[in-house]
Amino acid sequence: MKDALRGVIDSVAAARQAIWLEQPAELSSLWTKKGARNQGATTLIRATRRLAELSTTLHRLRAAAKQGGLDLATLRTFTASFLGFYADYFGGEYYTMERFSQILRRAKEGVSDVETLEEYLELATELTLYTSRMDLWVFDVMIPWSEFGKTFDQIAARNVAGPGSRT
Amino acid sequence: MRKEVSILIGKEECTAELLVKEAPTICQVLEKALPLKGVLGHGKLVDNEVYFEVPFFVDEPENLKPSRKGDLVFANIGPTVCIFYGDMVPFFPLCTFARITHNFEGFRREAAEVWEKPGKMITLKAKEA
Repeated sequence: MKDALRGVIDSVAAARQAIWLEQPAELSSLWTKKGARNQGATTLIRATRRLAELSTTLHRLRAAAKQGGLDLATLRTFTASFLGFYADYFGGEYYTMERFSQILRRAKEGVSDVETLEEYLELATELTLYTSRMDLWVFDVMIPWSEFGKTFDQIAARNVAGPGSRT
Repeated sequence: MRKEVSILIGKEECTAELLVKEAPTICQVLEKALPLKGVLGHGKLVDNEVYFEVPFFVDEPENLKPSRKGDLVFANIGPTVCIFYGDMVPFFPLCTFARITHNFEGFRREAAEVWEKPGKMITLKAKEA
């Protein structure tokens, strides 16, 4: 394995360990970011949706790589593009998750140094663990499911009035 | 020989027996990873379930069963360890690798709080003989 790729994999692992038990500081801004109509719920929900996409797709890419028989060049191209999208999304002016974005960008660059499916698997494994951990901080810990659930049930009760009707 | 792990959750300490015959690979990988510390989330679709992410994958499923209260299961998506603390309707069969054998009631009390206050820490460690 090239030293540069080893460095990338190690940096993803270190980033994951840093947030394993401690909520990342860069997530605290999700409490105050405002979305449409100056509310913040959609900010959190959108964040977890995108994080879940990212970690789930990485998980499936990992599984596919483990299965073997894939064209490595195609896998590299897709993965680099995919990581770049999310690096821009979370590192942009809205979410400003700079550390997370930096790690994804570094991983995107590291993909070009992948020479075997085994190396890809190692990178994908660390990325899956890291992005999943980030998502679970938002999905499990930040989103107030208990209160949301109660409010939703009130709204649902108003909407359950038979097919084609809305009260 | 019976293998066990200690579960520390909140103020409670519980014991779970590892199902080493039924889920040998998961138990082996988990034992190597001990002590495991994680942040608990509560199940969103299945009730009476808490889970935490673990830093390893086990790609071949073992001992797939519909879950029951007291079960510890491994889900490769995540990947996570899920623990059921009450009756519930399982979503689909999962890899059952351990069962709580001591102080289930203490576990249940601590786990139930996670719905209102997620983020409670959990530790699994090797049980001293």
